[in-house]
Amino acid sequence: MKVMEKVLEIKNLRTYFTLMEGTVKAVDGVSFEVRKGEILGLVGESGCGKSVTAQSILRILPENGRIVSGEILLHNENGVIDLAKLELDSEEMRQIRGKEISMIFQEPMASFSPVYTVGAQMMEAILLHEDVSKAEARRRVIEMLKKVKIPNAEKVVDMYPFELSGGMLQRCMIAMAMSLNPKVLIADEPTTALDVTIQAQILYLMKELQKEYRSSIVLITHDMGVIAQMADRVAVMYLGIIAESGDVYEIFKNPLHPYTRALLKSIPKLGVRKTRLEAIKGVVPDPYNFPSGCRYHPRCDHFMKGLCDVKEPVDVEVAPGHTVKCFLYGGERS
Amino acid sequence: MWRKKKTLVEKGEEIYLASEWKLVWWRFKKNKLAVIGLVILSVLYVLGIFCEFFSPYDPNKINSRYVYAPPQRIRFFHEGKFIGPFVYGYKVERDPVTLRRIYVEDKTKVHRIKFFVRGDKYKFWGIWDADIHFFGVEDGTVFLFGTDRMGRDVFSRILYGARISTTIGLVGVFLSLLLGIVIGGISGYYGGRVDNFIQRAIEFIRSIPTIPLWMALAAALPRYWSQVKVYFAITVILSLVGWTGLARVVRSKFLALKEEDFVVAARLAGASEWRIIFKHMLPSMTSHLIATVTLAVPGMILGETGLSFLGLGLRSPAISWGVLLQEAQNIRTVALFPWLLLPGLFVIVTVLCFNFVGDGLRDAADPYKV
Amino acid sequence: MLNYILKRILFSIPLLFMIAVVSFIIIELPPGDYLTTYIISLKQSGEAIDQAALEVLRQRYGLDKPVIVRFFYWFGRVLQGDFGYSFMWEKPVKDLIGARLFWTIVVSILATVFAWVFGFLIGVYSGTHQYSIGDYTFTVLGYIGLATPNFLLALILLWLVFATFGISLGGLFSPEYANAPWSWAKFVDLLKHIWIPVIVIGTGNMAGLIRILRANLLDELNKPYVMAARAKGVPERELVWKYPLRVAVIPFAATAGWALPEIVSGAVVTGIVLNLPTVGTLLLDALMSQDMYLAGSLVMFLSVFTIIGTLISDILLAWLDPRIRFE
Repeated sequence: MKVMEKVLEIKNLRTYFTLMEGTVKAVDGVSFEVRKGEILGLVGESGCGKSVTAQSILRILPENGRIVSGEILLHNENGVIDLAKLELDSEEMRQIRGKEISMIFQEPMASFSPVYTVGAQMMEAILLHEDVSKAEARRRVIEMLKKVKIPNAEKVVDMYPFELSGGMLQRCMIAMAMSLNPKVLIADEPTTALDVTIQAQILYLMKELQKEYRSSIVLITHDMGVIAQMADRVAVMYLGIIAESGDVYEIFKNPLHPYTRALLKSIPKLGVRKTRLEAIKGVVPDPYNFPSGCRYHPRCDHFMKGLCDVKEPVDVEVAPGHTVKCFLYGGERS
Repeated sequence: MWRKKKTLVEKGEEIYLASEWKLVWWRFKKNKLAVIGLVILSVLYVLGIFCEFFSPYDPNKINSRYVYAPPQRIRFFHEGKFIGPFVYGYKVERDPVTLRRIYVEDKTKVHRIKFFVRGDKYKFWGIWDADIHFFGVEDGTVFLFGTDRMGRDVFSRILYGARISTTIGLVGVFLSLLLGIVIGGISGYYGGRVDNFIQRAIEFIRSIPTIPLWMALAAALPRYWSQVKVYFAITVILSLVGWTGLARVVRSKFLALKEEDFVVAARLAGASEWRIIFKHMLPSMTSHLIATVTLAVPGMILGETGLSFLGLGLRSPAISWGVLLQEAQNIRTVALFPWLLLPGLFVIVTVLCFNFVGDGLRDAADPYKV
Repeated sequence: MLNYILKRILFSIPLLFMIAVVSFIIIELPPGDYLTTYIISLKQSGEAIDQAALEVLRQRYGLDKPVIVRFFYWFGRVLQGDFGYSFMWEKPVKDLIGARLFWTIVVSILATVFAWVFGFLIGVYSGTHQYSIGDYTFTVLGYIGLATPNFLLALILLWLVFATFGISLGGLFSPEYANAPWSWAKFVDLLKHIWIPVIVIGTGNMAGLIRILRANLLDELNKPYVMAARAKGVPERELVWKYPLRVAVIPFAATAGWALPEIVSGAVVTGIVLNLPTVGTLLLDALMSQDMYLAGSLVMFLSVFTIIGTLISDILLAWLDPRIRFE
């Protein structure tokens, strides 16, 4: 496996939320890296901390959330910047948002303000970061809209979000996110809210643009199918930690963590006759009180009493680039 | 999102099993202001309903000796000794310059406040003769809120006023609710042209300034009508405008519910329109309706108070808070005898409590929302 | 947009006609007709009753005709600017209401501006500083403001001013300026008086507006598009104004426009308590003495004013909210 240039490195990130009922450790020691020109899939059930990780990177967490510890290292021409150390509303951080790292969201309908035209909102992104005239910004927006295959781009630029379909809006969102040629694009469940047929088109479009711009994508999803189709590498998240990560072929061929296996079993397969799909047993535990030891142990088929519920497993590198947190593969240190 | 999970995990079973009303009540209880409001309102209504018993005097009894007497303070210690609740009697003097009466506490006259005492005779609810009052003094006077220009006890009058002022809101809202459910229901259930027409009519009514309209309608009530007739006429006038707000809520709920699976299912199963409306749709909007109704009561109370204050609503000898506030129209009188504004305080407190309770109910009406 | 404005204006025409109908109902509501009242007032003043003159009046007002015909007689005269005759003042109605209507509208508009400006500022503050001391204070004051009827607030303010300064602040002018021609001093005197009714009328509405704006702003602050805007690098100081507030202001404007009927209501009641030269006292006196042409015309003019007001605010709303324009 060739070593590629790192663009973004997350080291031991912890993001907690303070609520009335207590503290939620939404992200609790997450580390991964994003390499240049790759698509990294971040997969897990809803509530596992995927979106919070994304929001932590851009420092756009809701008010009650904060980064407790860890580093978010962005590698660019000027060296390495630790985003976790920057002030929330500093100019430096603002310049990174949208320009170096941009993001697209789950619900395209809700992610545009209903009172401005799509074009105005896309132009704003350009005008915020580059010193160009409005006419020039508009020209570039139309060009981008064409690039994401929106018919009648000259007209759509003056339309309001409620005049466009979800699929169209997500294309606009992608166009806006790519218009400044960011190093990293974070796509937070970009197709979940869309129709199945549109999903495939959007994913295809993202992959195409990613190739053209040579940017990196962090693709957040709960859908293993999407990962298989898109990602180069995968990180499987469970309750605020990364349970397993590695090359996409490796993970699909040789899933090691019981949770990853369960996730893979729950995808319907074409041509395989089965009476019912397998669901992962149990529900996501109470976020205020994580299970002791390995967080997955109450739902695990390979639960080892006295070990899994007592100690927390650490990363074990089972093959180059393939790590897993599970006692089945060692990891009994600490 | 996180909070929802907690309830699911911890209280999951309980919530799944609880009835809708139980859920509403649980959420309502969490809102402290709403609970306080509910308690105060209950007290006010009890006082109003049993005002003959709770008021120490006949509200129309004239005490020419005690005109504009200030409120008497309840005390517990006489000459440094605890002797239970009592008031000092009044000595009347005259200001040598203005010749106005001045009431001075006479520390030698101790009037103990007793409970369940005999006093002015009354007909309880106009039916039973009685003379037992919740509290009172056996000799002397106890004017907790002072007296008015005819020496009538303001406290007793406020309690009698509570009966009319607090119930007029309920009766008015009840009428509005009937109109609102019928008209709003038709509008929301049939939709289309009927709906459009009704919506325009509602908009029209809402764009007329209410008080001038109420004034004009109230002024047309014949003067010779009895108190009871005027009372109901006023509620009708108030609800002529009041129904529009409720109709809007009912309509939008109907529109939303029409598409719900359980309504479609009932229709497919061959249930009649009436059955669908009364068995399926109305019950599922009851909690919302109650919240809206609660929030509509203050408007009615304020309306009656305003009309009566202007002399167009209830008239003396009927007693409502608005009628009592008529006594406070002259600012010089108010400056001298500020206790005449006390009925206003009751209006404010009542309306505040209704708002608190209504807000609490509205938030609680959506029990699955976190 | 132009289309919408035209449609909205056309839509107000039947409303204006409906107002005429309601006003006519008010005129017709008391028992007896205009002539019986007129005869009674003549008798009271001891004047001789000229049967021929009565007959002329009967013809003119169509009193022997059915109600529908009477309505169109009356409506026709209204369109020509004849609103009937006030026997209480012994003057045509139109000579009585001009100046009073003017002051009512002035006070109402000022109260509206007061309610909007402060409602907006305090609403934004409360929405962006949720659960701060200021927010709590305004919330409490807002609740009390909503619960206090206008006339009571007027009484309390008058009483407080009277009790502390010993002056009575009723009216819009001090006696020495009431009939004086306009001058700078008279204007200053007006300013000294007008703030009380403006605050009294505006407060209840302001409280409602604060609640609306605060609740909507809090809702909008958590919407995905705010996070999306932040993610594309919108500076924090611009963000609130440009994104959540721009959307939250729509329900605010909708409520604000429809508050006008309430403000006019408040102006009537407050005018009576504060003894302002507005239509309040005129309307009350007219109703008390069943001077129905005057009363009906006043209700009509107040309603026309609010209809125009809501028309303007609906157009404003469409300008603020593209979704309405495209309906």
